[in-house]
Amino acid sequence: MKALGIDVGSLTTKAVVLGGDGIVASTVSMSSDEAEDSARSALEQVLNRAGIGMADDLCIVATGVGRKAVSFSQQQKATTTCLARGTHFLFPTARMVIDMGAETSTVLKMNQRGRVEDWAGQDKCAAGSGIFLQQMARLMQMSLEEMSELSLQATSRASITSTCAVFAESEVISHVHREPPTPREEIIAGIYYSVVSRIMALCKRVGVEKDVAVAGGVSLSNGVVRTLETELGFGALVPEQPQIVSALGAAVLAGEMAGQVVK
Amino acid sequence: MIFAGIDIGSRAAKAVVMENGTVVSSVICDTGPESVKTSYMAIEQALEGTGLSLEDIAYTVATGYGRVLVPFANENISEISCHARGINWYFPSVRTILDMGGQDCKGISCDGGGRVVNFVMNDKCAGGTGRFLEMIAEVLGLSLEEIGELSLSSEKAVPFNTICAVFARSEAITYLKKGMAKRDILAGLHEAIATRSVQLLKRVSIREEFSITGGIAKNRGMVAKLREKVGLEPLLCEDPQIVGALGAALFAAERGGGAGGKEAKVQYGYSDGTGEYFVTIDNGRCDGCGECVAACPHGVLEMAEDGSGGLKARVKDEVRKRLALVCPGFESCGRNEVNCHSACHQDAIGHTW
Repeated sequence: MKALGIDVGSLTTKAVVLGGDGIVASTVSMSSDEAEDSARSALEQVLNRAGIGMADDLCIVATGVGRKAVSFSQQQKATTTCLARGTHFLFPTARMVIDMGAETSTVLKMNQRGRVEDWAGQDKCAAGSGIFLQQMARLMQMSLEEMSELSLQATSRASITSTCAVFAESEVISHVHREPPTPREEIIAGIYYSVVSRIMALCKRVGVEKDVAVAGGVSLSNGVVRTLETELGFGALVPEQPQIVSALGAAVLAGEMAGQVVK
Repeated sequence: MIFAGIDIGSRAAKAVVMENGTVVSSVICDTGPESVKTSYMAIEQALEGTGLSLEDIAYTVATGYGRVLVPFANENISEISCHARGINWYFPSVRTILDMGGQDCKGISCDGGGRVVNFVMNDKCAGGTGRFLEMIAEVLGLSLEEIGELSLSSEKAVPFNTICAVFARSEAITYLKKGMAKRDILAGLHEAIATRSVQLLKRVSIREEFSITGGIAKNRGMVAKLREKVGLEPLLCEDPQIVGALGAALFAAERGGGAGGKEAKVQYGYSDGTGEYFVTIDNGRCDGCGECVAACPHGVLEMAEDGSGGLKARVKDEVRKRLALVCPGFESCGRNEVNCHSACHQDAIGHTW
């Protein structure tokens, strides 16, 4: 019996296979327009990587915005539940997780058993989301990795006052074309600060509690995590693969469902 | 005398030149990166062909978000006041205005004198602004002028559950890939924006009559959706985009024309710790019929000579210092069958309370 978690996100689909000794295999692939297709190709990929077939006894739990469309899953679980369980699996001491996804940001508090206690989310608007960051990278004509690296050189940050991603874009353009132009690392520092200040607003709503872990694709950016840590005033727990945390949580739940005791 | 109003918006600059209470010329041009240059360009274009020059203008009022950067302006007035004033010139019965501009959206509640009673604005988010529509038009490969018309031909709007311009764009791309008709996507987006605008309007309260100003008011698809959501037939003026500049020009005429001028409005009253108590009489409108004097249940008004042989209404000298004690204000007196506002067919009287 293998436990499998699939997280169909707005930008990427994540899949994790969990065995008795921990993570067997994981994949991250781009979501297509149809959630069902995304989930199916993620399933094939991850099974391939784990070296098991569809015929093997599988228990599948789906999560993420597209979870309803995953017809082959035994159960669909809320993203918050999976996020908490996945974080708890990786960091048992974590009481809070900050998930920064492509279109959604979630700040969640959990108890020592990895059960959700309180959370606040933001999915109405692109401000502070991964899409926002991606759009800014396109504007700066840099990759997200390059941006993150360059940001570490910044000694001060450019002010970006707009909340809206569309208006912030115009602000960044005016920074670039200013005479003399604002240094790129300062602009990036300003962009990161604007992302983090949206996250901090969510943190205030639930109240910060240690230890704090991060999750979601945005946490792949060192620069963002560093800015977040500065604002929090302490270090955060960063998973090796921050994108798969929710899928991992789903796999943990699938394991429990199948009666397999994992950790 | 010549007066000018200039409105430097986020996307377009508008200028209106007025003489003796009529519009001589008006112009709309794109806002450039330098507001100072843009303002000269707008006024020069507006003066072109009129035989007038900048020196002929007696007084200029600037408005819009670039208003502080108009070097030849005598005064700056907020665009909210200007829109209320401008729409009042066309339709004195309008009490609720939705101004949909390039980068913001405002709900304005005004009184019969074109004064702002209350307003709310969204300038934090691109949802429901001209910028949003521009982005969508770009994605669909259409011009801004086409999208409104096309949305009208839709029979089944695709529901959009986001108002965020960034998310809506990616949602639109997804629908487009799925082969959905552009007109249906547009209808859904127009609907989402209209719903959002109505929420904004509700915060200032929706009262009859209703008007839409700003560049988006030229989008027939949007107007149709708003008519449906608000439940009122909007009064649209000839060019809704120049209303702010027109209001500025009207203010210019009032400020620059001096008291007793044709456009002059006279205010009587005072403000104290409990509020503002002003009665405004628009001498440009008042035809001296005297019906308001007869209508006022509290005997506040009287007729007096205006210096050029005509009669104008005014507040009696003896009540000016205790106006709030004598006149209950339009909010309560307005419920009486007869009051000065209902008696005046010129809509020349306004109350601040």
